[in-house]
Amino acid sequence: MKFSLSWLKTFLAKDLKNSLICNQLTEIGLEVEDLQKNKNCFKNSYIGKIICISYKDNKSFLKIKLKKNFFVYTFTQKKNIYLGMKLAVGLKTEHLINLDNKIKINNENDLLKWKIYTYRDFKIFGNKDYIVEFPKDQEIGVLVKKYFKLYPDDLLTINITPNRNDCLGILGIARELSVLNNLKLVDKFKNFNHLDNIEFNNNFHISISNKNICSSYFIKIIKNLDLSFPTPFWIRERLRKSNIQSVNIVYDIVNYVSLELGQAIHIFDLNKFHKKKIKIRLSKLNESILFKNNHLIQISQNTLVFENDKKIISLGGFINSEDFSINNNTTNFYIGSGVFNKNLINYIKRKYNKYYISYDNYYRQCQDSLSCFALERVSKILFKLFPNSIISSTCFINKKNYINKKIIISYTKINKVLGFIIHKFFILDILERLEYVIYEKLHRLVVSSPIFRSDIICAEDVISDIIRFYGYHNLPTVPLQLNVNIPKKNLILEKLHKIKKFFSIRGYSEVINYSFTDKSSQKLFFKNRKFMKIINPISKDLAYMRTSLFSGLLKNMQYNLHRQQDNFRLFESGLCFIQDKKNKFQVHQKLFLSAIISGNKYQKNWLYQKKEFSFYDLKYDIESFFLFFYNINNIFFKKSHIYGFDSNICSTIYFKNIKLGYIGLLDSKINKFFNIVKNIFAFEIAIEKIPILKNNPIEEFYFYPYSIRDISIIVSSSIPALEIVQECYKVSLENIFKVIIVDIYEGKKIPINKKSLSLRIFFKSIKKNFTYNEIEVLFKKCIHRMKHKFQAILRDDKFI
Amino acid sequence: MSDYKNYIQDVLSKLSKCKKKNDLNVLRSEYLGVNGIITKKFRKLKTLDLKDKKKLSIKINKIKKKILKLFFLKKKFLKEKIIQNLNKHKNIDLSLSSKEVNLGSMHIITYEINRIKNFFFKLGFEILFGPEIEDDYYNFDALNIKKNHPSRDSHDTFWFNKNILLRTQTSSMQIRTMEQRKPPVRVIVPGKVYRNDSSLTHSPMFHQVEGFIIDKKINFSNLKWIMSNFLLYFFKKKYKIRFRNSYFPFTTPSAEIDILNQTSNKWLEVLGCGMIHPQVLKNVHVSSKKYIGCAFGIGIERIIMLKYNISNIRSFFKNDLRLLKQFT
Repeated sequence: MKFSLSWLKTFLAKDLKNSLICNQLTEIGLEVEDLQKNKNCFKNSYIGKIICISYKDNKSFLKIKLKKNFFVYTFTQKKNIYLGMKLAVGLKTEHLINLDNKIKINNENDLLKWKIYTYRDFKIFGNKDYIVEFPKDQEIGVLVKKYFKLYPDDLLTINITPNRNDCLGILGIARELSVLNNLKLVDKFKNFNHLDNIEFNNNFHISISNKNICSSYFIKIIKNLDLSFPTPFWIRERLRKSNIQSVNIVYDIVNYVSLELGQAIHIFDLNKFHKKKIKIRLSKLNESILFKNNHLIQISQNTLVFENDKKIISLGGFINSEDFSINNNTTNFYIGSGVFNKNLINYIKRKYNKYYISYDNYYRQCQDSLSCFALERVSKILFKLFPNSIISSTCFINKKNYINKKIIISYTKINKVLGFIIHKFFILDILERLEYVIYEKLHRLVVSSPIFRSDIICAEDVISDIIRFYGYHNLPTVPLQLNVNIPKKNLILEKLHKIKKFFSIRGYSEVINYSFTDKSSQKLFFKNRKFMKIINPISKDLAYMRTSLFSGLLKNMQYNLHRQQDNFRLFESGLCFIQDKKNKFQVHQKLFLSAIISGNKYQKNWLYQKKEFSFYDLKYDIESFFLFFYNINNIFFKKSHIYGFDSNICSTIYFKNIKLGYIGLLDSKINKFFNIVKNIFAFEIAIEKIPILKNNPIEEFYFYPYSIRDISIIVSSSIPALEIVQECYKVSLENIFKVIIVDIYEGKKIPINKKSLSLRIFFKSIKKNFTYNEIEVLFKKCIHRMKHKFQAILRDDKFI
Repeated sequence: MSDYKNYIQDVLSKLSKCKKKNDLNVLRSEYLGVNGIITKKFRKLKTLDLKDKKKLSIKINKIKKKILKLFFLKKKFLKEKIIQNLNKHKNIDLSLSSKEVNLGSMHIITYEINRIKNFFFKLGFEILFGPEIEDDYYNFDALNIKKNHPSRDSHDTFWFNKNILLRTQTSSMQIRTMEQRKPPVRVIVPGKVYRNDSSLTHSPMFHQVEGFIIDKKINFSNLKWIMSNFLLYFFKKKYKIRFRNSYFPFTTPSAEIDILNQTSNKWLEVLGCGMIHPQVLKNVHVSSKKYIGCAFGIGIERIIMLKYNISNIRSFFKNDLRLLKQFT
């Protein structure tokens, strides 16, 4: 909400400093977002007075008095001028003029030399093309700069939390400030709590279908008004400072009062009512309301509506039908205000907000007597301006006199919640000033909140009010007591953190992408999977929840490729969302870790040749990661076909018999989609499937030297090397402690579809030194197994 | 005796020609191997009578011992020579590097969340995580956000259908945790949250750390202590902070903490906190007479932006490698 500080100050009994007001408002929960200071774009202009206007060719020629015997002649095309108007005039060159040295300037007497300033020129809010106007009693010949120094454009922007409906008017804010500074609110509007002084008649018939939807409703009928009459300057000026455009006199006054008192007031054209009656009810099926440009909108059931002769006038007074709205020729007005059920207004706000036209988009809600008083104030201002108008009032009041319910609080509870002791008298003083009704105060508090505070529901809310006025900055800081239990570590998060640390040390950079992405890039990885779709996405390409992390990673790679990066090791971890109709939320949310590598492993330099990443680089990282935590012997890679990966280079990763994820080269159609000309290797691991980290068991070793035997065999090239190695281990797990593949060769001297493998086998016993013969026996067993199982041929015939 | 001298002379002259360890091994097997000269002599002993055997064996053993000693010395000499040669090629250009250093990095958000976790772990908080797709019960109803509350508006929340949505706050984990546990609890929940908003300071996805305590003795002053100490720990230096009243549906009294940004001289909101609303406690079947709770929510991006002077929140999710690498 935006308004001028000077307006607020008219309600305060004491002149407080601007900065103090801002700090105090912020601390009690009415956050001051901005205090607009003076702008300095007044361009050496002076305040002058129009003393003569003549019209010619659509232009107005003005004679402006700046000082006694100092006149300026100029013309303008702007419309908002009248005789006696005070405005800002200056030289077009924006030089400072010396008013005493009149002869020099007046001699030239050039019409084009002078400029009349508009709101746009001064960069202050107002009808941009309108001429800046000053109060009638303003002295002329004064620099505009000086004027604004005296009467600064002190605009306050306050962010009001949705619970503080009572602070949507200047009055409410002033009330809070007065309580805080122990001042009495300026009694500008005497007896606004007494409805007795107003005479009501029943010329207009109000009917309410259900007592729960409306507790009171007031109408003012004002006849014989002239909309062409200009709004008084002081009202326009205050509205302008609240960023409200001036429309016509009735709207302006209604807006002014509504902002001042924080009440919602609606206006209709009286002549458009068919009978003198209005019905307030909940909507039925298939009802509609007419908006601008013959736009007919269906109203959903049970919305708060006003009805006149089977036509819907308005939704709760906020969103009004075009049929009943006023235009320039309207002379008779219907002005209404009422107290409605809060939920019904919130419902309108939620459902029809886009049709709501108002000056600051707040849905003000009324309080009983204040809303009636607001209408009274509107009519009083109008009556002053139009003494010939005829005013009559009608009201409807539910008999149920509304009082907020009693709340019981013990003093110990207050101290327990706040953590320190506030004196009883202080509490009572605050509550009294806040207009609470105190029923009991000796051993415990029994209070009820003032009628305008609908946000106080439970004891804690009252405590909140007490601490608010005690001052948040006065609150002591009390150290937290130690917990009795030492917290357990979350194993999954800890595991994830260790994994992230490991990969970042190995040269991978972590990325974080949005969890939603487009559909087409995800389709590359899943043929038939259905994606979770957001109904109201930020944009079309962010409308589907990700089912794998790859599309995000690839987009990052593409982005960086365009920025001349050529070495990519990226990883990301996060939830992926897989649709599952059986699940309660229709989705499986799985934690994955994915990485891609691509580009140059290293650039060419004096020591190395340029080298690109290969499958084995990625596999090596995964293996070393597992070795870091587990026994590597439990990890297997099994060739498999996975959609989105190359059909030859792709394998599934197993831990014992648990499928952890997969690793491989991405399919070339993915390269095509992302326009990347390099091989991309990627893996994906399900974090939750990785077994809980355990330290490897610790064994003691006895030192006996090992013996080495080398062997070269020729086998079919379709046999994975790992299987051969595992076959060797099977001979004797105790005595063969390592088998490594020294060389793989395909080509010359080797038959087609065959490959030559050189193995090196390490024999070692934990109990004794092996003799030559014992090793020979083991070695022959290995050879025998290989021959038997894989039809291996020895390259070296020595052992045949 | 002349035999003895001859043998030794012979070995010495042969040893002087040895230049490698391998030569030495060959020479050794020539004398002491299976068919070596000395071994043959020993074999011959078997054929002699006792008196000669005794005489000769002493002699041969003496030769053997001497030869072994010579071998040992020579071996030692050769080793020392190798070690001496090791350090000969010393003259290299130290200014060269083998490869360009290419370090990886954790994302700054991960890194800072981890620091936050450590802080709260020391205060006895357990760390949990939860699902990101929620239903309106966990995200709104149970947290006392009524059906017509403004934050339920479709323009703030991403919806999948009438009930299912992307969580707008990690507070939903308060409910999930308390459904499974009994007080006292101290928990923090770091995680991603989603709001339908995009600008320089708002991102449709951002990170939050939610924390809450439900215990018999916990109060508003404790909360102020936790929060001000947390900020001191996080920023590593003292900032001017402002503790002020605010409103959240799931806490009362509620507070917000602002930090004075020294460069722009403006207050920036960094976190919200408060005492858990009795209605929320009731929803998870905790007696509000016996227990009392406090909760807080920290916007991670916000405080990181403040700490490192980053002006655009979208920089976090662009994943520009040049930016990421700075986080090492």
